[in-house]
Amino acid sequence: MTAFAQPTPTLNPSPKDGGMAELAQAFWEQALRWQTEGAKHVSESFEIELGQTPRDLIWTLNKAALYRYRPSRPASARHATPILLVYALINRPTIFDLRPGQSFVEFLRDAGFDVYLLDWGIPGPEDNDISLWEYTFEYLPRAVRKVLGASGAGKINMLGYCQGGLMALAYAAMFSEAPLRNLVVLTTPVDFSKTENDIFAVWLDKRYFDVDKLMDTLKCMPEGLILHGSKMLKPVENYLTTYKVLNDKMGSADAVQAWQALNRWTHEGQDLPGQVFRDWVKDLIWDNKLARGEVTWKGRAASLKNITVPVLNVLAEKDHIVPFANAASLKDLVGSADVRTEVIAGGHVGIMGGRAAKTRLWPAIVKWLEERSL
Amino acid sequence: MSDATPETEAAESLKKMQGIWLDGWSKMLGEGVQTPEYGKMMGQWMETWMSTGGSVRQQLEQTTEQYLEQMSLPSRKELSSVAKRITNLEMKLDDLDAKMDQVVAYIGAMSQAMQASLSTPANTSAPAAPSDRSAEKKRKPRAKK
Repeated sequence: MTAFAQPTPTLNPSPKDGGMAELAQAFWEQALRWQTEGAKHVSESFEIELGQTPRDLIWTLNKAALYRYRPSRPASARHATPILLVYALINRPTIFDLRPGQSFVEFLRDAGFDVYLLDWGIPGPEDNDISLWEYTFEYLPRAVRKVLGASGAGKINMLGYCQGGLMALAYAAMFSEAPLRNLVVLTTPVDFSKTENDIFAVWLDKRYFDVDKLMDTLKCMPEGLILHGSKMLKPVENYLTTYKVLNDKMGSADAVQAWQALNRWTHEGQDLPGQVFRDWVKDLIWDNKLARGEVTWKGRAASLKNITVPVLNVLAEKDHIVPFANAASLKDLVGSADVRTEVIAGGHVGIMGGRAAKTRLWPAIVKWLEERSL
Repeated sequence: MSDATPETEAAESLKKMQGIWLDGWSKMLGEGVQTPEYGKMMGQWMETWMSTGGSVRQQLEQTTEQYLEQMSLPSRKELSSVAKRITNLEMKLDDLDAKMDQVVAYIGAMSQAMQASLSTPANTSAPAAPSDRSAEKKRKPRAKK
């Protein structure tokens, strides 16, 4: 790892010692070195590969795939209850496994968990009619069954992130008999009636936004629109400040790689099936059906009161995507007596993929799970 | 810092100014995109786009489909339909797999129960000595049945 100082704080000689010409020369030499070395770090960082933790494919359905990460501890030193990670249908689940040393999967595995990941896959035009609820109530239970079969355990821990958290909640709300031991949800929207600071509620206001017409035209929500939409939530930070941050980090190869890993994940998007987007807007943002117990599938209704297992609800202090009040409502909606709300410093993505994750979010989750997974 | 010089102070001030400038823009634009006016403007822009570019796109799709039909080639819609049928089959296979697992588990449990019930009389009777061939002879025909 190479590290060197930024040019500005070490300007030498000063004008008193050698005059302006020498000062300028020293400054430019150092700035040139900074940019040259920094550019080298940046160009090297393009070689980063996301999702490197060794794993085995154990099940597929359509584009969805279930992976089991190879454990780093012998069976006798592992927790009895496996953990299933469920990410959103937007973006790739590699946020859980960015790169060695910056990987939640690696952290869980080294803490003795048997880790499984449900990757929804990259949907094609043929998947545009699959609803959010079909993914939740048809795909997810099958994946859970496979985890039980592969691990030999009687119950699992489930961890959902963002939209994946909502799907995990809906699954647990629909199937009160689900083999869950604990449920962890991260930055998960649940009560869409709490619209304070909710920019999406403004943008997707039914008075101005015709979701059916848009999906009839586009068939799906293209990844470019999703990316631009999420960047426009904080335009200056996402289009300008992020590159200033990179410039400030250019002296350290490791810091540049960490930045690049997160940046690559941000830009590795995928189209969202049209029906999923319709369900998200109409059933959740407009009608708040999950919180109201009105989500139904094959004649059954999903009631959050059915969730009686311990729940860890993690909120990001500076979440600009999921409003705080929306996510924090969970404790009043579930039937569980053991609900803990944990607020972690950072943003919606930063709490999981940022460099502070390994000292803030990840240990908090592991500690909570370890107390309940024996 | 004790070794701060006028130059480093100037550079730090410059950095601070840059931060203030970015924060100012961030606050202004951040607040701007949260207003109902912005939401309304986006809705109107989309409406305009859908009634112009969107309809052209739909017409193009229709024409392509007609062309493919005349050329006896499968359209995207038809291929999607085949893909959906494959997924449905995958689900049915998955359900069968689940039922098979149940059957295997049931047979395993039954087999264990039978073994336990068969071993119970042997345990209650006096243990046969290895040299007791008469006892083995008596048991063998029963085992063959």
